Amino acid sequence: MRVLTDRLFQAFTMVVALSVSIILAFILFQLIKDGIGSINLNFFVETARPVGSNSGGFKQAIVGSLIIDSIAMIIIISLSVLGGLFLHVYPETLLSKILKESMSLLQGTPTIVCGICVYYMVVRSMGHFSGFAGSIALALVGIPYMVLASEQIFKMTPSLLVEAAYSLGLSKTRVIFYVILRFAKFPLLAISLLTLARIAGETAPLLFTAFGNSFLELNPGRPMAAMPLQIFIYAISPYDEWHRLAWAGALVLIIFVTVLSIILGRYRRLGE
Amino acid sequence: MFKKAQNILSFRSIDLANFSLFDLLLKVVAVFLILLPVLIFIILFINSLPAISKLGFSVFTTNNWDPVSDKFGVIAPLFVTIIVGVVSTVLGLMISTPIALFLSFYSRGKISSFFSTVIDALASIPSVVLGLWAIFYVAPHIGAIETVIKALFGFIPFLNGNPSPFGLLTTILILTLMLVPIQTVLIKELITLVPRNLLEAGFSLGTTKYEIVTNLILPFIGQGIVAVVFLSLARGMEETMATAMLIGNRPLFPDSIFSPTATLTSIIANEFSEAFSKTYLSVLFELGLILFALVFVTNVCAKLILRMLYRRFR
Amino acid sequence: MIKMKLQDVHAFFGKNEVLKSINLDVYDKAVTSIIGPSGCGKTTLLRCLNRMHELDRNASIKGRILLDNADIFKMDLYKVRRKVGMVFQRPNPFPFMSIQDNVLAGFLMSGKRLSKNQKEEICEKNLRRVALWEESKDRLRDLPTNLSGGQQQRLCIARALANDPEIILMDEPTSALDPISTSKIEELIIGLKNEIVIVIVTHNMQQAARISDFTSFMYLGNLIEYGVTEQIFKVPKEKLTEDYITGRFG
Repeated sequence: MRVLTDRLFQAFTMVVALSVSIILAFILFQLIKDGIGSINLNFFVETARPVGSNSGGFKQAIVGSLIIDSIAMIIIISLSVLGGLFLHVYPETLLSKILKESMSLLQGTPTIVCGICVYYMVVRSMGHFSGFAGSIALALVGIPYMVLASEQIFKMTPSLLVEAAYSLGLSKTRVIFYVILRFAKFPLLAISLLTLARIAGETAPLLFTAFGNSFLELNPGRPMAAMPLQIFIYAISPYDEWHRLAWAGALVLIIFVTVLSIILGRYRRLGE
Repeated sequence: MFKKAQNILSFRSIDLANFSLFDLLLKVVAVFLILLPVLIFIILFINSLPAISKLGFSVFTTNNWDPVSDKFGVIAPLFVTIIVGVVSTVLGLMISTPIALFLSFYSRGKISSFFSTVIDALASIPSVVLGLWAIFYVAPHIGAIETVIKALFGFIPFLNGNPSPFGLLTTILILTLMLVPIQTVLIKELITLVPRNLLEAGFSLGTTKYEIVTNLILPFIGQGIVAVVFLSLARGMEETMATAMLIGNRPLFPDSIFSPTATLTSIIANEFSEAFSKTYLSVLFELGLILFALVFVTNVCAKLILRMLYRRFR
Repeated sequence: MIKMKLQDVHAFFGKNEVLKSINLDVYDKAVTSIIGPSGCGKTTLLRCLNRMHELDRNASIKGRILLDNADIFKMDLYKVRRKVGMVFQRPNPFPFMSIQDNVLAGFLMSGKRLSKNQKEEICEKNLRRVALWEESKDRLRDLPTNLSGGQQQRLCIARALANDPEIILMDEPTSALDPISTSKIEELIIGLKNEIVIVIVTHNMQQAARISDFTSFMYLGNLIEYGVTEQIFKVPKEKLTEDYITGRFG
């Protein structure tokens, strides 16, 4: 009887796990089924076309995402590595405690709120939407993860090495550059890519900052299209043709995001 | 060789400028980062001031969202935001707890890592993609599900309404799917907090895994689950894209679990770029402020509980 | 009389063989001790006897272990663990259960219903067996966290005894305790051996000499020598055993 209960419970947990996997399989299957047909050369080299022309692609969104995400990543990496170093160099000080709290506060801030704040700060003062504003909004979303994760990575530097370096009479700066940063090079790259995967799918912060654009735009000072934004716009449109493009865009986006985050699964839990 | 020499040279130049400069840079960046959430709060507050001074507390007393006649009642979206968060959190727990137990007790080796990958993959799907999937593959079938629910449980007031493809139920289901991986990971983490020697003591008495789970694990992580509830509540309430795509965007009080309605996030997402008056825009910032405060409070609750737990067990 | 018989037992963690072909007879109404340098596999051997070894991920066992001539790998897992109880290195009472509930944990956790009288009876009987009754009878409803380490360990022994096991396995039960608590537990073990079979792992050779009737010496996963305690300590047959006992290594 007791063994039976145990077996039943085991079966129950397994069924639940299986059904979630099946749902995931469904999602992926339908993404591929509906997306693969529209992924062709046009998808990558054409910009959006008006309905009815039965072609058109995601070029402006792909390029836009590349530009917006690159600028965002530059901001995120430079600020976060410094922030993480600060946490590492001055652990347990008041300032670093406050910094940690404020990062977890920022982490909890709704992304749409980040979006409207950047709208006020950047879009209002520039007078128009811009890809650059989108980058800043994405940076606000990505910074807290990267700060907390990079601190944890710096912590993993073997203290033996650090002590050895100090025992040679090296200054703190040199220890940071020679030992800590060198040791953290690859993990830092990994968490940067994970942060990229995280922000690449973010849509809400871009709604009122990058805004979207049907034409190819290379100047980040102007409104720009982005992958997730374009998917959103196409998804809620009433046209089948645009829906197909949305599926294709979603497929490309998810391949990028999921592959990145599964490959780097080892580092996933950092900074959460 | 040459490269190395160059490296040393470049480092020396920093050294010449001395540590204090780099040190100063670190501190400046730290202070700047600390100010970010403060800045967000200030921006939200300044921008909501016009609405607060003009409408005062009336936003919390009027039950009507009608921007054209300057009526902005936030009770309905606020209520819906909380309902959506709470219901999907509870539904999510009913799925994520068994999965977490399965991963930590009933599976090992390849099976365990396969399902962990599934959970990770689910967590990494951007919400806009999940929303897209739900629009085309969940919403069309939701009417049928709702008809069944109505037929079976129609006597319960909130379960009796006109089925509609977009509305509360659709949103809740998708949010549940989004919360499951987050909760699973957190609960799995909690289970690792249970000291190993207690588990062994339990097993040495000849108890089954199920008895261990009900007698040891669940009492042990009970408080932690409360923290998980708060965390995923915050996550559920702040979710924007899937909600905006699925909830139907009718800023009214829902008369049933099926009806289209709106949350704080979906109103901001849908109306921000169309706000035609100063007050309207300001009210939207106020919604942002309310959301910010709501999520802040739930997150703080979760943090406090978790901190207490870690202090006790580490 | 032989209570438990190990035939060609191999134990693995992944591909790492930690026990190599162990043959051992555990006799009834006796204390058997297992000694050896740390990392020699003595704890693993002990954990094989009530199939706790299988709890670890990627752990596996080969060979046969007979309990009263029945193969424990063919028996119901939970029955094996009820017949063969275990006491651990560090006292591990359940911190959220009262002292009484801790003694009764084997019953409560497996969902057996007991009347109030039965509960009190079982609790008193087993606390008396470990000489903890006088010290704790006024605070049976308290949490065990206020007990001293030695008392907690005796409580854990009571918890194992309450299951009415035929064998109790002890994994260095006194290594975390002070000398006085240690001697109390040793007395307890000697007193219990008429009713129950005890297998104890210890890294303290004096302890093995003091309390056990049979001693086995293990080294690097092999059972080097097994015999009556006196013989092992006075006239060891193997060179390795002699070296270890005389303190030349370990």
